[in-house]
Amino acid sequence: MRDITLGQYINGDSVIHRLDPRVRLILTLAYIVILFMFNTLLQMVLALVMILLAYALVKIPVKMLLKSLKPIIPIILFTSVLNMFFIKGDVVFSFWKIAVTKQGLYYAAMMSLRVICLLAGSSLLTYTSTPIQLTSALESLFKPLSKLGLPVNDLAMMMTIALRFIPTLLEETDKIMAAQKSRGANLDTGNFIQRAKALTPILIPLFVSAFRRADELALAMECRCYNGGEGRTRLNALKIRRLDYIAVAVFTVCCVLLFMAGRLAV
Amino acid sequence: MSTLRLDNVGFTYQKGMPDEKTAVSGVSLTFEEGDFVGIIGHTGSGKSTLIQMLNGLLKPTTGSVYIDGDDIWDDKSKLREKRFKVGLVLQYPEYQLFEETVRKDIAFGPKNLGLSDEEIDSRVREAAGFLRIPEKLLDRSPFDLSGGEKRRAAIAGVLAMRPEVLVLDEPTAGLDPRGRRDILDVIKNYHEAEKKTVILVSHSMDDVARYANKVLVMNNGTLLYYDSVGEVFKHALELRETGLNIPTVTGILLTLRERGLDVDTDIYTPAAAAQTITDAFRGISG
Amino acid sequence: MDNLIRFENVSFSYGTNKVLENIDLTAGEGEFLAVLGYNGSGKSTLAKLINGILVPTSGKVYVDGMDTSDETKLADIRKTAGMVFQNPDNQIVATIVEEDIAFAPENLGLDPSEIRTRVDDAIRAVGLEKHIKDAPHKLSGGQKQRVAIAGVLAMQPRCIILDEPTAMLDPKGRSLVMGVIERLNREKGITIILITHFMEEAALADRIVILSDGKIAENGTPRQVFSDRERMISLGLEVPPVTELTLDLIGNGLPLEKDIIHPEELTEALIKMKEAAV
Repeated sequence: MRDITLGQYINGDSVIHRLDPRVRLILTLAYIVILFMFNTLLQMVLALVMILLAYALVKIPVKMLLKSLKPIIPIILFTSVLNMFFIKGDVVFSFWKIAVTKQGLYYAAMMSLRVICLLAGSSLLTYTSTPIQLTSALESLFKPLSKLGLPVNDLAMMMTIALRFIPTLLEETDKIMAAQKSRGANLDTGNFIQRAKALTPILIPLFVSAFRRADELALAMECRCYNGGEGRTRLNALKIRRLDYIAVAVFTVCCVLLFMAGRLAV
Repeated sequence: MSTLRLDNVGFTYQKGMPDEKTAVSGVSLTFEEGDFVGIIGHTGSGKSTLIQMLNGLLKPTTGSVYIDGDDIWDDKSKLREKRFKVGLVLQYPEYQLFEETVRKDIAFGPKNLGLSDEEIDSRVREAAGFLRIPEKLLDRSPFDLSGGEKRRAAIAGVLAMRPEVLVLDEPTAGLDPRGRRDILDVIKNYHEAEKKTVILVSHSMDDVARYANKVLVMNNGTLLYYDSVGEVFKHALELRETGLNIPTVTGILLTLRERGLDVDTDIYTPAAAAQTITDAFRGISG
Repeated sequence: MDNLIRFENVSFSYGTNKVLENIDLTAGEGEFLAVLGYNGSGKSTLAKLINGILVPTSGKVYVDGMDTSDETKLADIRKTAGMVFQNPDNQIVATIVEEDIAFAPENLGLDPSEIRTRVDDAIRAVGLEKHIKDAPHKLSGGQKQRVAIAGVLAMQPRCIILDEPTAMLDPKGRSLVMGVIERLNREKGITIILITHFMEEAALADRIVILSDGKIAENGTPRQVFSDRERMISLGLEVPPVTELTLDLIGNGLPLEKDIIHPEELTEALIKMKEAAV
C-alpha cells in the first residue's frame, strides 16, 4: 500500500522513537553537518559505526538499510570512479591511459561512506518519525519566525491536511480510472501526446472532486470554530524530557570523539 | 444469446505479500440473458471485487470469466472488445463526468468504440431517452445539473455503449426517495424494453425484492445463495443470522409466524404481506 | 429559555433564487427533530442557517437566545450547535483519530489536559476507544462518521445538526450511527436536528418537519405525518414499509390504527388481534 500518511515510518517503541521529534530532527541535521566537516577515512568509518549502532537501537534489520541504499548505488559508483581516476598521486596500478592512485582510492572510499551515512542518517529520521511528527517539529522550531509574519501555524495546518487527503485522493484516482476504463478510455497505449490527452478524463473529475472536498472541509472546519492558527492549543504538546537531554549529550560526546579521531589520523 | 459465466472465480489482493487478502473465492455461476439479478452482501463481502471482474477491470487470481463462451482473459488483444459487452456503472458514477456538455460526455464511451458520428449521435439519443434526460439538458455542462440528473447522465454514458450486460453498483446511493424511485424505474423500463441482463448491487433488500427476479447473496467472499427472489427469501432466518438486513415486511412475517400466526414467510413486498396476513385472519375467524 | 433554536420568519435567497420562505420553527432543549424533503427543498440551507454559516436574507435565527447575525457571538453559537455533514471523508482534518477529535477544543484554546478529557469522553460516547490512534482513512464509513460526531461532541454542544449523516453508509454503519445519535439525545439530552432521506430514521424522532419548495409543508409527530401516504408521496417522499403494510391491511378490512410506524407495534397489534379472535 502507498501509505503516505505514515511514510516510511516503522512502528516501534525504541529509545529513538521516544525522543521528542524536534530532537530527532536536530540531531539528524547535526549528523549531516558533521559528515561534511569530517575529511578522514577513519572519521567516516566511525560515523558509519555510530549510525549502525543507532539502527541497532531501533532494531531495524540491516537488510532494510541495504535495500534503501540500492537506488543510490549508481551515484556511489559514479563519484567513486571519478575520484579514483582523476585524483593525482601515487599510482597503485594503471591500465591503458588511466592510473588509479592511492589518494584516489582513499577519497573514493571516503566519499562513498559519506553518501551511505547521509542516506542512513536521513532514513533513520523517517523510519522513526511520522510525517505528522515532523510537521509539528518543524512548526515548533519555526515558531519564532511567526513574529516576522511567516504564517507558521497555517503552513503546518496545510501540511497536515495534505497528508490527510493524499490517501483519499489516491483512492479516488483509482476509482475514476476504473470508471473511465469501463467506458473504453485507453490509458495504456499510444505515444506521449496521446497518453497525455487520455489523462483528461481522469484529471478533470479529480480536480472537480478535490475542489469540492476542499470546499466542504473548509465549511466543516469553520463549524468546529477554526479561525486560523492564532490562539490554538495542542492536545499533544511537544515536550523535552530527560531522555532527550541524555540523547543530546551522548550524541555530543560521540561527535567530540570523532573530531579527536580526526586529529589523531593527521 | 449472451451469457456471462463465472467458473471457480477468486481474487486475492496483494497476492504473495504479507498483507494479502482474499476478497472472493470459488464463485461459480451463470447470469442468463434477460435476468434481473440483485446482488446483496455486507461491505467487504466481495461484491465490489466480484463485479469488477465481470468486465475485466480486475483479473481473477483463480478461475475464469466467460462471455458467450470465451474466456475474456484468453486473448489480451481482445480484452477491450469483450470488456465492452459488460457495462459497469460504479458507485457515485457522477464523479466520472468530465466533458463540456452532457452530450459529449455520454458520447465518450461510443467514441472509444470507434463508431461513426451518426451512430454515436443515435446512441446518445437512445441512452438519453432511456434515462429520461430531456434534449435541452444535453447541451448543458454536466457540472450544472442537479444530483439526480448527474447520476442519470453518468448511467447514460455506460448505456450508450450498448452493453449486453448492465451492472450497477448501488445506483441509488445518496439520493432522495424520489431520486431513488426514478433511477430504479428507469432501470426497470430499460430491462423490460431491451430484455438484456441487468445486475444490481444494492444494500436495500426492499429494492432488490421489488425489482429483481433473482438474488445473489455474497458472504465473506463466497457465494451464499443464488436463486429466484422467492427461494432466497425462504432463507430469511439464515440471512438475518449472517447479519444481513431482510426486507422489513419479511421480518414482520417471521415474527408473526414465531408467535403462532399462520402466515407465509417467503414474501417480500408490502402488498403480498398484507394478503397473507389477511388470509391468516380469515383462517382464524373461519 | 425553552427553545434552544428559534427561526423567526426566516427567508433566504441565493441571488434571485429563493431557497427558504417565511420559516417559523423552534427546537426545544433535548428534542429530537427530523427534517425531511426532496433534494433542493432547502434542507441543507436550513441547517447552515442554524449555526451562522449562512445568515438569513430576512428574519432572525436564534441559538440559545443568540442572534446568528451577530458576528461577535459566532464562536459561542458554533460551540452550542455543532454540525455533522454527509461525507465523513470531507470533515476529518487530522491524520490520527484523537488529533481530529481534538481539533475543535484546540481551536477553542483549551488546556491540553482539558482537551485530553474531552477527547476521551467523546471517543467513548461514540464507542471507538479502540481506534483512538488509528489513521482515519483506514476506518469504515460508519466509523469515520462516528469520528466526525465525536469531533463535534468535543465542543460539548447542546445541539447537534446532522445533514444526511447516513446517506453514504451501508446498513450496518447506518444503524451504528443512528444508535449513537439516539443515545446522545436520550442519555445526554442533546438536541438533535437530523436531516435525512430515510423514513425509518425519521420515525425515531419526536417530531418531523417536512420542507417543500422552501416552505414548511408538514410539522408533526411521525405518527401524524406518516399516516397520510398520499400526502407523503406528493411531497416527493415515502412512508416506512411497515406503515405501507399497515395501510394495506386496513384497506383489506383489518381493524388497525393507521398511525403505526414501528415493526414491533404492528406485530404486537396483530398478535393481540389473533389472541382475541381465537
